[in-house]
Amino acid sequence: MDTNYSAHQTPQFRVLSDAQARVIYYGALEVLNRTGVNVHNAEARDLLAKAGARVDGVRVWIPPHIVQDAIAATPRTFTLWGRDGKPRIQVAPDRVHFGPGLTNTYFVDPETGERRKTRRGDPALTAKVCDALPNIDYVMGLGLIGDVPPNLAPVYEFAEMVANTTKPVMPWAYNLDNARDIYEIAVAVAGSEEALRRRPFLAFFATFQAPLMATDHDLANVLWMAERGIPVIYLGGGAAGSTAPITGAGLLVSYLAGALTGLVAVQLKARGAPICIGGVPEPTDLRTARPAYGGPEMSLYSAAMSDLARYLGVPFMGTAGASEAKVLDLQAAIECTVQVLMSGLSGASLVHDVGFLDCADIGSLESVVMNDEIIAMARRILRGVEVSDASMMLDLIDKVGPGGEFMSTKETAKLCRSEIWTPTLFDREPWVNWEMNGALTTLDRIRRKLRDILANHRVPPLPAETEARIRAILEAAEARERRNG
Amino acid sequence: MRSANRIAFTSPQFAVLSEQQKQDLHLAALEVLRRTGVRFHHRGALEMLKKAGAFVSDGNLVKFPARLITEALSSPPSRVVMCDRDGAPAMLLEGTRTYFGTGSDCLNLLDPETGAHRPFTQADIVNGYHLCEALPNIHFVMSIGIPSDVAPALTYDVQMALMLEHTTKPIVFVTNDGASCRRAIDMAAAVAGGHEALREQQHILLYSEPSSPLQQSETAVDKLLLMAEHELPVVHSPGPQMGATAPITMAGGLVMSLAEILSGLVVHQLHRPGAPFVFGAGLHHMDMGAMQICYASPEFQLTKAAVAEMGRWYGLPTWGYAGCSDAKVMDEQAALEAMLSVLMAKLSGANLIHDVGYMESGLTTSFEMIVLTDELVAMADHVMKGIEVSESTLMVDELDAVGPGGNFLGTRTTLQRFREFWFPSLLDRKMRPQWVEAGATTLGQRLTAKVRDILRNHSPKPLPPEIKRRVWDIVSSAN
Repeated sequence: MDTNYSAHQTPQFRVLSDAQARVIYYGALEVLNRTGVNVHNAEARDLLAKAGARVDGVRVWIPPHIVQDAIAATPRTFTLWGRDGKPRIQVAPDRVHFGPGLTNTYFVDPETGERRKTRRGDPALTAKVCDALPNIDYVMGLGLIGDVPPNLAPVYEFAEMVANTTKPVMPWAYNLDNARDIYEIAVAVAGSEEALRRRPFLAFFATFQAPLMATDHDLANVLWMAERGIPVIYLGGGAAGSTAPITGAGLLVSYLAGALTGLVAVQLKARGAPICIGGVPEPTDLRTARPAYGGPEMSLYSAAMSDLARYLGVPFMGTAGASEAKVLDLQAAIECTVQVLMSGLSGASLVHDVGFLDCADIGSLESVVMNDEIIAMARRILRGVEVSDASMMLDLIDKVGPGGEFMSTKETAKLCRSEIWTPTLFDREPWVNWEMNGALTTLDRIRRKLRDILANHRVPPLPAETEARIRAILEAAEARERRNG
Repeated sequence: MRSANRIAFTSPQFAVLSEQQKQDLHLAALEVLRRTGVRFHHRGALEMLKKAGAFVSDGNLVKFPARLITEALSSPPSRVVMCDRDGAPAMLLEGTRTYFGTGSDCLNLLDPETGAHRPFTQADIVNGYHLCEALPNIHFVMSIGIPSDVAPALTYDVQMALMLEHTTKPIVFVTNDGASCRRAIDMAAAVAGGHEALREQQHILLYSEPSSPLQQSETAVDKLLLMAEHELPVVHSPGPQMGATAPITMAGGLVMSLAEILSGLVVHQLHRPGAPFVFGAGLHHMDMGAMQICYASPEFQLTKAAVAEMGRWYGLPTWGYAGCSDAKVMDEQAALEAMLSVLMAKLSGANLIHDVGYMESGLTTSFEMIVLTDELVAMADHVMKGIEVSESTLMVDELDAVGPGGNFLGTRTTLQRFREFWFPSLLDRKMRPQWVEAGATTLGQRLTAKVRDILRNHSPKPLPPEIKRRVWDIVSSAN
């Protein structure tokens, strides 16, 4: 009925205005043109030189028009599928999805609770748990497998993940050998190269280094995957005060220049290839000289990066659910909640690192379970308040009147489940009931839920012939590694 | 949708004035009020204004310091709830909620039986009220016509009595002086169950006018003060003709109207702070070829939208115009002017939109025009719904399921949702053979048929006899 009515369908949250985003983008263009970046991959240097960039040794100076053209060519959105052929995630600015992170040296053993080296079987557990949790949208390995030939860890990790979830999977690789193995496994699962290109169920993850360095293998892998239609994630950041300037704006300029270098190389290699840029901006804690994942600046700068990506029309990978705490304690709960809510509000497309402890050294499935609940809370907040004649319920208020009650109305019965979020982990019982139910702490309930998932969640298995094919690929990789010595 | 930072246009967006332009118009009006002033032909008002700090010179010329305007704007309510005759809330005059009603005091009716152009009678205006009572998108009534079979001195009393008797919808009334205004209030109070009940369940609203340019008459101020005392809503709406009683430019006409409205508001609020006040103005221009004021010109559409925007900017309920035409009969011009005026009124978001049924520059009413406007409001309501963009309406999954070359006619969502489209009741969409079979009627013929059908078959809830007697006793007391 109303004219000129516009609704905040979700809460509104911005760290950077469009004007600030534009200024930072111009700053990154200036850095790329004046300072240049070190591109350690020869193919990427050739592509950039052919497009008109000046190259001297590994240093490449990229003029703005090349960057602008690459951004124009970058799809604003792409879809990630499940291996079951179902569309799972439409990656696009302001559509928020959560998943774990990768390459943690240590893993919290879900049986014993002890911190130990990550080993074979752990990524399988991670995939299974993520598969079961409704608010985890995709899977990463949450561990660097330590008990296989060192160069093959990412391949084993991918094979385990693919077998234990139908959600999209995000592998990484040390080198092109790994990347080829991973791609072959993916083709085996999809049925053919063509099927995989049409419905990619993986996005390939790679990093760049700060300040302003595109590393050889990462870039080589990304170009190779992009050519085959596999969406890529190109993520880096810098630690404010060590590998990036101490100010937020300086860090953002430096990060964006690094991310755009990879984006330009990918678009020059395969114009229109789906790519998601990402950043993990950490403050350096100058007492320990360690980057602090749990710092408020991490969430603040990540949200600013999300604003930058929205301004450019490029999907963004953010970070949340990653604590500095050594065990899943109060600090972990606090840091995770701040990060999850901030990333959700900022509209990051793919939010990763759920389940991290101890500065990314430890992967914890207990933390993933806890974060699933935190994400559910944040998603309720993100739904905002619907304001309409129907939802304001003036007639019902008039009918019930002063001193009445709304509990027994049919409107309450109809809407109570959709309007009011119900926790699955958090306790709201009266004291007496809580005591009768065993006086469990949140950590007790998290562990119980985790044990229940591990014991009872079933993921549709891969067909036997696919499993055999994957085994053969792994054996061939082992043989290759032995030959290479 | 799993997404953040979403802002949705849940209705189409429309504005004639920017924030800066509204500010400019307001400041210009303050300058006119301070430098030029307004003549008040009312002793009581002059005393009040002088006491409050206005400058009075030349007997009755009042110049306003800006603070008087600012203070006056701070007290009236931002919303008025008008009730039906039974005391139930019927119109929430707030924000951009729109309600439609007739005009007042036409001399002539286009007879729905004969098509003749002839003077109104009491029976005609009663028919008009019955018609409005039956139409779902006519939300309030004004008197419609001046009955030629009533003594001129009693015109307004009889109109009020007949409106109270023959429709339950809220009433916007017009009177000639303070005494007849008091009788109108008393009649409404008799129906509501007392003056206190009427104050709580506001069923009537007074329409009055300043005397452009820049004058307030004694009778208009009398009525304003009386309504304020009863805390009943008023709209004090200038109706100048640009180029005659107002400057020729629309901005100039608006500035003068603002000065007139705001000066009236000052007196109204000084008398009873917080009394309800609706913001309105009708800026017509004179067609210099025809020497007639225009009710359907594009300029009138613009100024009425600007007035609604200014009123909202001041935080007041607003007054508007639609369903009126300069045509002489219910022809194509009437239909297109009606459509334009209804859509512009909906887009402008004025609260009380009146003059539905006006033809011939407000001299004649057509019942067919009222019925047509009822249909056009329904149509415009659907335009105002905008386009819902959400997970459930984007239908990506259904598009995927049906696929290229498929068909959506049989899908479950189509069956669930096809009624969300508007279905006309009077406009025709049949295939030609079916249209021929149904009588090959034109819209004009269907409008007349619907008017006749309603007048034959619809009669509103009667007033209890003793209340009816008391109302007519008050009319008699005027003699």
